[in-house]
Amino acid sequence: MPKFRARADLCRSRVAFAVAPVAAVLIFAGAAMMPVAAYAHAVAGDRVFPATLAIDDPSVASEVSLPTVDWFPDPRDGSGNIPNEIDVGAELDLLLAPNFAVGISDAWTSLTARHEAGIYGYQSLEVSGKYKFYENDDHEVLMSVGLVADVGGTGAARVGADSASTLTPTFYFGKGMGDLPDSMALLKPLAVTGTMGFAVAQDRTEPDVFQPGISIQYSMQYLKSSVKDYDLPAFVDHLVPLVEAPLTFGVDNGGHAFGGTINPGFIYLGGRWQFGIEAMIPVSAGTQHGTGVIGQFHVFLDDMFPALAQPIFGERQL
Amino acid sequence: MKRHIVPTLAIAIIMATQPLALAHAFLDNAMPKVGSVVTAPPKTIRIQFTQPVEAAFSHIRLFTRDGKAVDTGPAATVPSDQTQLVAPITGTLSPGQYEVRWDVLSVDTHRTNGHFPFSYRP
Repeated sequence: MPKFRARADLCRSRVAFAVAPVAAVLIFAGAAMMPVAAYAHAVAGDRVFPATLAIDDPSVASEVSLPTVDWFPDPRDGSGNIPNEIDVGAELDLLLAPNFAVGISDAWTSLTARHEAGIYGYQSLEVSGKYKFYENDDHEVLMSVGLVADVGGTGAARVGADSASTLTPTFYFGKGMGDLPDSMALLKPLAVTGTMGFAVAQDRTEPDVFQPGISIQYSMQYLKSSVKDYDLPAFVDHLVPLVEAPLTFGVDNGGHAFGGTINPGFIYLGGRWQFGIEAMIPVSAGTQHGTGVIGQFHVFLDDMFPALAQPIFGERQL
Repeated sequence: MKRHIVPTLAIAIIMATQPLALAHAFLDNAMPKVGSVVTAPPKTIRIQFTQPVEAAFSHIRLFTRDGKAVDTGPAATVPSDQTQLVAPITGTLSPGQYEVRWDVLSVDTHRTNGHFPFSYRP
């Protein structure tokens, strides 16, 4: 469940790293448990919504993004240089109830520029809660709501971490096109997912930010298993070509900047993991100086360790 | 930073190669093939899944285009390959389009379901 995070001055996927040791402990603790009934991740009917890299997917699950790495050239700094930014990290999400999950993430950031000393540090710790309130298998629809909190004072100001917290209530949705008429069969593998968040800065001198995000994706797996099997190479059957667009609009306190990126790329769906890579094309000069790239390795814990994926509360399901 | 790279990659590799782990059972291929046109009425529906399934909790059903059920027997896995689920078609097929609906329980207890079309044109 990758995060869609944004600051007033830019919008991009944040990656997390500090929680890796915690994730490792939980993963291997789960491995020691007996498998019991397991819950699906983002599945609605025939549709599997992959974990998108830049915006969050519309469901809840136990999963880990480890690592996520992005690189991009920042806007020019005060010296006229163009710093290279690299973020590396991980995110852990765990189901507490059948439709409710919590997450924790953080990011380690590197800023380097020619003839300047490098700047390194962690971003603010991020915690989140998410509740899936609607699923329609026939029409391949998922909807969730959540609250994402960037915890102020937990990151390094030198890499842009805020001293004050930011709370972002967010709505998540996903819609597969499998219910299109048969005359439009080749469009059935299409799906749209999106998020709408409103980041409220607890430091009221900072701007609040509207954060819409959308992804358009085409599942080759869906094409093969539900529409028509064209005997394509197995590698192709695992691909989900997609375009993501995490965007930001500052709405007050003078922060009326428009930012974000357009991310074309693909996700390769393995049996219990996925790998994704996307270009990050800035939509404004204030976002990035040029095109960057983001890659992510993602593991579905409910497939890897079914016992770990069991909600702590609520009935087990078969 | 370098001190983080090795443990991070190690964890990722271990997770990706966990030998005991299974996953959701999704359709890998089927006979009749998904979206195909057959010229002779099939006597069985065979679906190969990406993971082994529990036959006792798995089903294959067949419907006409207008939603009328066609008689099928109970689904069973192939003795030598638990990823293959087969159901006999006991009803009579008329020329037309059909929809196969399946739901399975993988051996690690994940439930999945799906459907796909095929056509019979003699």
